[in-house]
Amino acid sequence: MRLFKGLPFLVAAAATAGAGDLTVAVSDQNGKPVLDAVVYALPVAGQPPSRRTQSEVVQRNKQFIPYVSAVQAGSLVQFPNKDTVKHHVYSFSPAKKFELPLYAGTPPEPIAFDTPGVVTLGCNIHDWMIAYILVVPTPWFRVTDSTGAAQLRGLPAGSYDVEVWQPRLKNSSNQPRQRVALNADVPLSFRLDLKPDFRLRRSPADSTGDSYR
Amino acid sequence: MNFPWHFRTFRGRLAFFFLSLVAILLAASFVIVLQANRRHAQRQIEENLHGGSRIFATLTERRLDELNEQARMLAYDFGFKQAFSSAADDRATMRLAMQNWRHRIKANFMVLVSLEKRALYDSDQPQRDGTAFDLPDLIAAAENDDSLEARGLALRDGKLFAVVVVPLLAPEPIAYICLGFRIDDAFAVQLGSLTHLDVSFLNQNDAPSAWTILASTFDSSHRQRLLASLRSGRGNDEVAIVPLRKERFVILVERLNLRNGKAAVALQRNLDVELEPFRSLEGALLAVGLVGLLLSVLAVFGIASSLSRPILRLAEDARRVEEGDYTPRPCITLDRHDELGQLSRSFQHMTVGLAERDKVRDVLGKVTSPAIAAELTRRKLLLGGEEKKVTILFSDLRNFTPLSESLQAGELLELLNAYLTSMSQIVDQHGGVVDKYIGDAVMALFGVPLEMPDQAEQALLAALKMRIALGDLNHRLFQPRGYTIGFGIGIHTGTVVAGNVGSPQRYNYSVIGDDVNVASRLQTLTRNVDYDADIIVSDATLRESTTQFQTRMLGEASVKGKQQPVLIHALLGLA
Repeated sequence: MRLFKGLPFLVAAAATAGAGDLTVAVSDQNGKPVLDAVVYALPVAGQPPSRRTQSEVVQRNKQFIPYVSAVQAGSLVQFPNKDTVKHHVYSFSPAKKFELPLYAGTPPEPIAFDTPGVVTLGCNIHDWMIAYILVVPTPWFRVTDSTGAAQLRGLPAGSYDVEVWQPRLKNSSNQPRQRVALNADVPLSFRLDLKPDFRLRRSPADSTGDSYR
Repeated sequence: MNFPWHFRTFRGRLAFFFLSLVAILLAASFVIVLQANRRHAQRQIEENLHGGSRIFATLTERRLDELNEQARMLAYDFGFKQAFSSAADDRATMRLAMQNWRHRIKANFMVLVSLEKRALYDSDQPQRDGTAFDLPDLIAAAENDDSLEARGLALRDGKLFAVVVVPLLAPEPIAYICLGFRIDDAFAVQLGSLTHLDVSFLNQNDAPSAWTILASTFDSSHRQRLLASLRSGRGNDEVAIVPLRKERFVILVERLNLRNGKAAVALQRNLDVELEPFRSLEGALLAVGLVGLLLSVLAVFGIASSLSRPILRLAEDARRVEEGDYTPRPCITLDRHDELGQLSRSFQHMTVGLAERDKVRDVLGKVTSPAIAAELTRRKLLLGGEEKKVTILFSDLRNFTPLSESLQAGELLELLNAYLTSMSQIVDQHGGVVDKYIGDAVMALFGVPLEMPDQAEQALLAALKMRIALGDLNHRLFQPRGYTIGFGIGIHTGTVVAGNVGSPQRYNYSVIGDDVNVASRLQTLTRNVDYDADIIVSDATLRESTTQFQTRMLGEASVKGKQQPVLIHALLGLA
């Protein structure tokens, strides 16, 4: 993953002419569609516009929802607890270390994610709870659905480096990237080399239906 | 039966035979029990060793499980994660925290290893920080494990450790925690007390004989002995008997599945301790055997004596019987119902029979000559005879008729018997036999029934002695009564038929033939005063004699029954 540390954030939106969409299909080494892969496009020239947003990673049924999400650097994320028990959300990731000690409901303040990078979320009470927030320096990103497809819309004409990240990516330092000149609807496809899914088993008392989360 | 030695007595032979039998049986059973014991002990020890090996494996596995649990607890410790995430700024705090955790779970070392297998923090060896982790295989094993954990035995700084690796999850793995627990003498002692074995952990360096001891229940001198025997190539994945000092050990060496290097666990059992119960059993068996042998000795001598004592007694009785003593003796075995009792009874019956027969023979010897009686009893009693050379002596009293007229019959018989007894004794002394008494006449034979090479001279000597005896009788018996008696003796040697003469119911042993008549005739010639001889001997007899006698030739005399006249001599005395 490319790091954009120290890169000044652009507040002004660049004028766009002839905006286009980018359709990306992500599959694994076996050709199966990959869910929860973050696809994002970085303009080769110029700075992408900054669009600060506020999103949510919900805790429900002792799980983080969504499992993988992406935000543009500088965005805020709220962690509402929809369970009846308290949670202790934390991250020791270099991109964002934070801790929300035991709380119920919605914390008074959202958390700001300013540095691009992977933020791994955990819960100190429930070892199996895990979620990822990928902080990217661009407003053009999307998480793939169960068909492995993601569509980036409204991109200004130009050349982009399209990158894909997934939690199970085998070699995270050598992220797959494709350069594309955006003039029409060009379908892109990525084939990812993924590790086996490592998830902790839920404790039996908490297992409701699915034994994995 | 052929014996390697000759026994003088039946008792000795019996004793030797039975004691040999008992000794062989005892020795055989002893050897069999001994071998079975040894085999059993060996097998038991081997089973113990293999059992010990299984217990060791189980115990190690359980220990690793325990360590794994503890490591996992640590890996989930939020404070630990916090410290780790902020350690970049404060390495000293991180190390102290690690030492603290290490002590908490009593681990001997703790290393935080990066996902790239570099040692990030070594709890007690800061110089290793940042270097490649020295147990990369263990981390690789964790990476391939579903729960990202690994465990095993490993050597570190020449020491043996049980090592576990667990991931540090935040909540995805951000590092590996590696915890080591020393396998030391205390562990060996614990294992030893569970298995009742001596346990040694060994390191085998590259050189095949370079064994070193990592941990052991042994003291230092036993360790040196163990190493020496291992270096000499004994005990490689097999059960072997190894002498350590004065004790013998059965040893099983099993390779340990190590993450790095070569190591083995050696399980030993003291063979002598294991054999102790068998030893006491063998001792008891030996004692029972010896007591049995002793009892057998007594029993055999008792039985032998009960057999040989009556037999010796019977032999003694038989010897007395042989000497002619038929006195009935109380026999101790007479009442017995066995073979010895039968033998005793038979022997007594035999003695009675022998006594009867001897009595008969005695009577026979009195009515006939003892020699004839012996010959009669010795030979088959048959009528008939055989030709034999014999010297015949006839004697007859002179002047006896007037004596018989003047004396009482009783007194006469007494005197006659005295005379006949005296003459008969002389005949006996010279090997002759009295064939018969004819009134006061005596017919004696020399050369029958037993062959007699010197029959002629014996007959002549007897005649001379009879003359002296007659003088003596005259002096003692007859002259006091006013009488002097004389006698005439005729002696001739010739061939006669000797044998039993008579009817089958009653017969005499006697001789018949012309030469008998010649002898009788020579006796009557002594009456011829012209000859003036009391003993007349034929020339045939004189020629037969090898001893020289003093004689006077009387010339030829015609004898009834002989065609040729017979040359006769008067016997005067010894030459």
